[in-house]
Amino acid sequence: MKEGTLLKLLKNSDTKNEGFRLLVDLYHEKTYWMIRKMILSHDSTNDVLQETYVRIFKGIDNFKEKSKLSTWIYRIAYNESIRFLASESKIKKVELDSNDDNYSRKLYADGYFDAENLSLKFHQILSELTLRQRNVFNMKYFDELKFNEISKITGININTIKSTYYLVEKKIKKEINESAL
Amino acid sequence: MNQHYKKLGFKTPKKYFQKSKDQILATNINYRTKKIEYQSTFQLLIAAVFITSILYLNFSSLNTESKSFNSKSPIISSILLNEEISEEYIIDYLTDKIAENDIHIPK
Repeated sequence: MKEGTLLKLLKNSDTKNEGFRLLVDLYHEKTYWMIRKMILSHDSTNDVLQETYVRIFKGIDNFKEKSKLSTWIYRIAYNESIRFLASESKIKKVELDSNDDNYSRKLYADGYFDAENLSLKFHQILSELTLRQRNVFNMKYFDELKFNEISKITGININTIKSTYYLVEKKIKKEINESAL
Repeated sequence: MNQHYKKLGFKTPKKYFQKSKDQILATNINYRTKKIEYQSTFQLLIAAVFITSILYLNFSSLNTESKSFNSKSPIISSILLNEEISEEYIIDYLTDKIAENDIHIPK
């Protein structure tokens, strides 16, 4: 379904529910994985996902169509995740340029995590990244978003996004190759 | 979206996505429907109070009118019977009432 058609359904009060069902069908799984990679725990991801869609449902009437619908949805999910991380750490603002010291603890504490050797190595490398680096890498590598979309979602300059991604990609390749030797 | 997340070892409970989708739809769409229901109920309640108030005011004013005269009063009954009220009649009436000590003259 084209985004324009979906938006028409969402903006009309008579067809809003139908449009919302289609929107959830299209995006909710992708949104889940995006949040999960930031938050790590399944249960917390589910809470953030639910809150994200409450905000989407309430806010869709005010969506100005300055970006793609999917970008707008991911931006809400990103902001909700950042808000959750801040509340989890009991701080007002998450420091994007610092490491998450609890990365491994959160990962292993989750009942829905079962990694093999390569995944563990991958997670070890990810845990060494700053939150900003990790988010940029995840969005580009796993979610296959374009640089300009990542920029709109995170509010970070596109050139910073590009340099961050290439730096992280290089680091990961190097460490994976070294561990394979 | 690629499937690389599976390589990260992330898993979900069985049928999670279907349940999660149902939960999202139930939360948002049912919430909206309930909100509309509550609004309708509230509007109906306001309308009912308004109508009741108007009816009460109307009937209470009718009652006041009906209580505002005593049909047993000779003057009123005379009016109702289209009898002519002469000056003599009024003097007789007042004399009777004074005799009965039924007229209160303000001091």
